[in-house]
Amino acid sequence: MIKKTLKIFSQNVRKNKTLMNTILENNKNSMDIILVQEPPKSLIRCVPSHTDPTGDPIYSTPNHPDWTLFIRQDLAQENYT
Amino acid sequence: MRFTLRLDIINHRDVNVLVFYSGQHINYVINVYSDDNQNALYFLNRNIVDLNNTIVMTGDFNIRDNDWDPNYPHHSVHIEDLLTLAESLGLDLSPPTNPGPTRFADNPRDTNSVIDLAFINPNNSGFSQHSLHPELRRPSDYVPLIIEVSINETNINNSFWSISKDSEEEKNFTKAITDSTLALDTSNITSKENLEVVVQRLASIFNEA
Repeated sequence: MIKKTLKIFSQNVRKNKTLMNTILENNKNSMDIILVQEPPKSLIRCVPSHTDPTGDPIYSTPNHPDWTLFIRQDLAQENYT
Repeated sequence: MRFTLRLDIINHRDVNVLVFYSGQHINYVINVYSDDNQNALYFLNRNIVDLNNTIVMTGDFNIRDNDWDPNYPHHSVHIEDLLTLAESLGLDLSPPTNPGPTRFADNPRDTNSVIDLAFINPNNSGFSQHSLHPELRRPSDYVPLIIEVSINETNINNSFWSISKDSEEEKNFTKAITDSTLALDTSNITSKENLEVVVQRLASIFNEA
């Protein structure tokens, strides 16, 4: 049996993209999980739609190559974790 | 350690349930943003399923209460729901090692508040050991929490045999399977029983090779 420590960083970033990127970069070697509340979301692209000729918008949040992003993906812009 | 987001357990825009396996148990970490109407809190209380082995539930709960903020002289109407939820997950409110506000007020006439909380399993060595880091909050008015929890991980040793690539053994193995498969009589698969016989023979070919 190995006893390990799981390090978690948690902060409400108030939809601030710069702060979110800074947190991801600064904690890449020191934390196991970063929990964010009120993450920033911006339009990534529009995907073909059955109902809208301009396509359905896909919104997402900043990512970082050293982290795996987990977010509830849907077409809505509003998302708070 | 491999984490997954379990939307099949909780599918709500304000709640993330992260799962990881420690070799012994499935463990849960829950991230919550509960707005002024406490949508996430009520959703969790209505829909919470059996999440044994939740290690930590943390986030912005938007609940001010004298229980965790001595500068706030009132109790919240939501405290019972929040504590009931935590209890159902086997968690207790974990006091930080350096108590203080977790949100600095935008308006200087307002008071700073404690609304970012951590609920941790009281048997975990990380209980009441998390810390607030106002020096890391940068432009945000919210103070980051750093939580360290212990997990028990079982080391599973696996061993297996393999045939070296391009070796004589690999050629013999491939030839044995090929020859036996070509010799397999598949001309009379007219019933379920016949098909079963052929499938069993095919399995034997691989076992004997």
